[in-house]
Amino acid sequence: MSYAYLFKYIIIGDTGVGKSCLLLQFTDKRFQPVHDLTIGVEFGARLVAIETKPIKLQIWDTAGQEAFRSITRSYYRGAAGALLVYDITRRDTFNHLTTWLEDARQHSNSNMVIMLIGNKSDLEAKREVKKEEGEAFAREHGLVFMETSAKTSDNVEEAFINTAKEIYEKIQEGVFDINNEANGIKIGPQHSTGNNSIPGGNNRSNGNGCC
Amino acid sequence: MSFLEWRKFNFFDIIHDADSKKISQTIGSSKITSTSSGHGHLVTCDDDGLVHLITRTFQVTTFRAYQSAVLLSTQLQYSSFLVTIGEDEPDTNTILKVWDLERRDRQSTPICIRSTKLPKSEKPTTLCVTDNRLLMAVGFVDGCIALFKGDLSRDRNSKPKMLKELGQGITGMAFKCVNKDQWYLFVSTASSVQQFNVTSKDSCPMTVLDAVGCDFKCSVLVNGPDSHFMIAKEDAIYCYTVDSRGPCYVVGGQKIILQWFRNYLIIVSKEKGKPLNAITVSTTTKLSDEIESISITVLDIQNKFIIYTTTMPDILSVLPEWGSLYILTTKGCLSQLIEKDLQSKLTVLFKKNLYDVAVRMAKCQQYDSQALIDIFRQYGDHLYTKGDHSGAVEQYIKTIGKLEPSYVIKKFLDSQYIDSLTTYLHALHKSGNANKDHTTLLFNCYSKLNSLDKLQEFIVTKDENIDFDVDVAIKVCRQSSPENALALAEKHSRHSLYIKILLEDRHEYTSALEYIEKLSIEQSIQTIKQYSNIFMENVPKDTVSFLKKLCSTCYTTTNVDLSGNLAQPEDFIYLLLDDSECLVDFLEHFDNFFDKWSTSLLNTYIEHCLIVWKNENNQEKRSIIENKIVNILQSADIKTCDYYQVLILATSFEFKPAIVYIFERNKQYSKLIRYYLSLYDYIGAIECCRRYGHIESKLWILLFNTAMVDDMFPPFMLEEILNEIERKSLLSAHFTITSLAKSKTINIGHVRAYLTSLFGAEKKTLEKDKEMVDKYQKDTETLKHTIEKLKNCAVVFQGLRCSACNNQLELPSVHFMCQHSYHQHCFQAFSESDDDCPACTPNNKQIMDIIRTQGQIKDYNEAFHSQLERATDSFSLISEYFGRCLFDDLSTVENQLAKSKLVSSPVVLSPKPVAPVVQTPPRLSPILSVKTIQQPNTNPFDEDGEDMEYDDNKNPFNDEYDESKNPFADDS
Ligand SMILES: Nc1nc2c(ncn2[C@@H]2O[C@H](COP(=O)(O)OP(=O)(O)OP(=O)(O)O)[C@@H](O)[C@H]2O)c(=O)[nH]1
Ligand SMILES: [Mg+2]
Ligand SMILES: [Zn+2]
Ligand SMILES: [Zn+2]
Repeated sequence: MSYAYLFKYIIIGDTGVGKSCLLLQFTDKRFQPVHDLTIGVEFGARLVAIETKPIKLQIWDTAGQEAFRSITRSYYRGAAGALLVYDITRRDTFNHLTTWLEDARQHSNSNMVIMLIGNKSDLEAKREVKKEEGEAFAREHGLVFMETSAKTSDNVEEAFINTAKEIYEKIQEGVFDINNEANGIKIGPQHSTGNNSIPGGNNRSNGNGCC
Repeated sequence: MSFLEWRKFNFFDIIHDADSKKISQTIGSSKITSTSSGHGHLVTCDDDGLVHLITRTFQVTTFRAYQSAVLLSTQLQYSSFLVTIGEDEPDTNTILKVWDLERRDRQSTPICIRSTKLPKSEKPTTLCVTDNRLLMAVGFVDGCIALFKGDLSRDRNSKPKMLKELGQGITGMAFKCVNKDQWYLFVSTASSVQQFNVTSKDSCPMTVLDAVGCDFKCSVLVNGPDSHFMIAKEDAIYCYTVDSRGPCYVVGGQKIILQWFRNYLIIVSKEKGKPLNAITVSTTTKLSDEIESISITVLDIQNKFIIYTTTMPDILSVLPEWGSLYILTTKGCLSQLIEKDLQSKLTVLFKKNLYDVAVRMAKCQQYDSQALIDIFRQYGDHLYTKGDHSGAVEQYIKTIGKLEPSYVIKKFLDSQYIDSLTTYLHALHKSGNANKDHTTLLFNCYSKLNSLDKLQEFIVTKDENIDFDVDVAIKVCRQSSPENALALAEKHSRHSLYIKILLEDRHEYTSALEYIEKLSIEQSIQTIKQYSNIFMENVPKDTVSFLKKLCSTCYTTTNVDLSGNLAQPEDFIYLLLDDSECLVDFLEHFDNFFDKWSTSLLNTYIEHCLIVWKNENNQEKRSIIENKIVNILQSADIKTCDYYQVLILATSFEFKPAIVYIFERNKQYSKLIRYYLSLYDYIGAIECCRRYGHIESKLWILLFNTAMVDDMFPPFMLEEILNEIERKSLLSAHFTITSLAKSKTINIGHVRAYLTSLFGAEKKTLEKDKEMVDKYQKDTETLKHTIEKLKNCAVVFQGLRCSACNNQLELPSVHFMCQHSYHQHCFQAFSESDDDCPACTPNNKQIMDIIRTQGQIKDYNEAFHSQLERATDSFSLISEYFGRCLFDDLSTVENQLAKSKLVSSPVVLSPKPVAPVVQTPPRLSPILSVKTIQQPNTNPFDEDGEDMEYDDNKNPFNDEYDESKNPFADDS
């Protein structure tokens, strides 16, 4: 499976907002009605095409529970994109967004693309957070916003792909240093610019030193 | 230790002291330094330099590997090689040895096939060998790694490659193969995880994967293509792929050992005091809690449960072998963990109502489908009793195909579950397992739910292998939504049903017709026949025009095999019988094809034409119809037209043109005339006589007879009739006049011309006859005189010439009384006898012959009768017989003849008729047979052969006219 770029994502947000379901829907096109608490960090990958370029998305789905925060935080670092998810049927998940965002900004690299996701849009009857509120929050914090439903798969694909597009644009603009894997971006094996895999390895060992 | 939110089960059974303490006895007081397992052995190595091989039956084989101590060992999984590192003397470089356990020496010690001194004097901490025996790595306490490449069983004296120094003791290593030929070496230290790409010979680039590390034995490589390198930390288990971090599983506790068995992760960790329910992430709480126990936990990562956990006083290592797991303590105690079979695991899950887990687990282990179905059913039942009906249905749907649907349907029959029932039934249909009853039920559900759109959707999407009984579906739909029923019927070519619905429910007759028109001929015939009555009742005009089209194909497609059941117009006639106009209209559509019509069709057509004709008041139209019918009769084939039938029809409808035509056609002229007469159409009758009188002269007689008795008969025609009779001598004048005289209506004025001419002619004949009589009398007188003379006077022969040679007579000569004279020699030459005059002999002989013949004829009355019957003028025949004296005695005639010798007869009887008669029996004997044969020709008035005999008419001597015998007498 060759790819031009590999983007690393994380999915964050309160427990039960549907992070794992979003991932499952995106990778397996399935929906899991039973809440299988994520204990730690789960992992998924899928190949997508952005401007005809094959891009591999490597996604970490983190546990939302407070108790796991210290562990999941360590995953922010290597991510190029983040999906910050709340549940439109639970206002508290929306209220916690600021905390999540601060946490993310603090532990990730500054260029990380964050997409705000209001999930469970299929449960319109139980909605507690208006779409406009989500939009407003996103505007205020410079995020991309989208409402999705992991159940009906509505907008799920778009959420991941739009994030990838955003990252891709940033790469084109030169915002990301694509040779630094800490940014969460990797050039595909066949697409590497010059034979820099060995120097890259050296880079990492240098980086290791500073950690 | 505590795992937050991991569900706990007990899927293992433990057997303590599985080896009956054999191992501990063998080891004795020495300390186990290293363990390994694989290829049918458990391997323990001790600080005394001994290696113990334990078989499945716990037979222990011990051999010395080193003089001092064994430090590390690795048994290859799929080969008999055991790799050990140990020292023969303390504080020298350690030695790596490769043993082939299948090759033993005399003391049954395995043979060491390689012994290599390691390049460093530092203590080796980790040993790692690939199963293909081509790669081997040794990690040292100072962070160095020695990489051996090439077949490890051969001591090539090749120097190992030293990898990049990590500065920290190596705690774990694992080789991983990617894409078949890419080899990576995962390496963990206490504070880092990295990976070396060891594929290339020269350089082995390193990639740091994480800045956390682990202790000895706390890392493991998960087998499989998408496998991870796992390390155990206090807070969690972290996973790595060759290029990045992978998932992590939060499992608290200070880990001692990490091991992989089947699909499970085995974690051995230290428990401090009582197990806490919170995660002990913060290491600061690590108080010197003395109550320390070791716990072993088996984690099903895929399903996210703890499937076994127990505490033990001490655990040295966990070894998977022979399909189960062996736990070895430092003292050499061996316990065995045996995984429960699936069924008992499932039973546990069912008890806890964890059906979804059960399903997942069963699927994982390729459980057979029947058992899976059973799980689904149990799950469904469980959800059902919990009141989650939609959830239950979801499970039941998975049982479709195996579980009897009625089991499920029964549960949802209550109307409040109709939604769920619908869902189930729909799925049932989709999977093609539905029967008729299911279809009925589903359609009823739809209509009860009022979700016609869904119903429609269901119907429309039928192509996608949803299978159901269409007829039932239509039936059910009909009650609730005829549209759907129609759509279904159309889609599935249930044409008859389609029409039925249109007609009975919708009363859309014309559209039904339009629909039928689109069908194939066979189908439309079948369908229209089925419903024709309804059509005719409601839309007769349209139906007729439809039938026209339909039947036209029957005629136009001549090439088509006509034996096939094409639409024949006959088939539809019965529909139109009540409406003659329609029927006529219908049939006339095919009048181009008269030649193909059947007799009955033609009859029907004519009959209904006649009905129309009869009901028509407009004279113009009537005549059009008349012409039409006659035309048809004229053009019709004799084979197809049953004229007799038509005649009956025409008679009953009093349709003159047809009657006339048929009579004419059948040459039944007298009937025709009688028909005319019965209508008092005398003109017609006489016309007919004029036309056919030359063929059948009796027609005139017929007409005449009628005229005699019919008061209405227009007398002005009489003249022509009489003339005709006269001209053709059809009746004797006497009879004619007698008849005329008897007629009450005819007066003399009407027959004056006839009488005048008759009498005129009569008079002339009379005069002529008189002349003849006079002449004959004169002749007779002369002859009498001559006879007298011959008798009494002398005869003077004055002949001068010979009647034979016409020369001058000379003597001797012969003279006859007949005044012929001959030379004698002439006479002798010509004469046949001496008495007769040769000139007269032939004549006399002839006369004599006639007389003789007449004598014979006399005996044969039969001849007379037959002649009489055949004769046109019977009277003259009889008078001739009189004249020949046939009614007298022959002798007297002969006498007379002999006397007179003069016979003059105008008629010469030919002897011909005599011949056949010779054989016939005498007149008086019964001769009926003969008579009947002759009958048709004998009765001059009988043209049909069916008339009774009219003897009197035949008899010219019968003056009496017997009115009662007149066949036309009662016609008036
Ligand atoms: N109706 C609806 N339910 C959803 C949707 N997404 C998730 N859920 C439900 O929400 C529950 C939680 O979903 P998860 O994806 O396990 O939640 P999570 O964010 O991963 O939770 P943690 O792992 O604890 O962080 C599950 O019962 C899902 O079925 C959605 O789009 N619509
Ligand atoms: Mg989750
Ligand atoms: Zn003579
Ligand atoms: Zn003569």
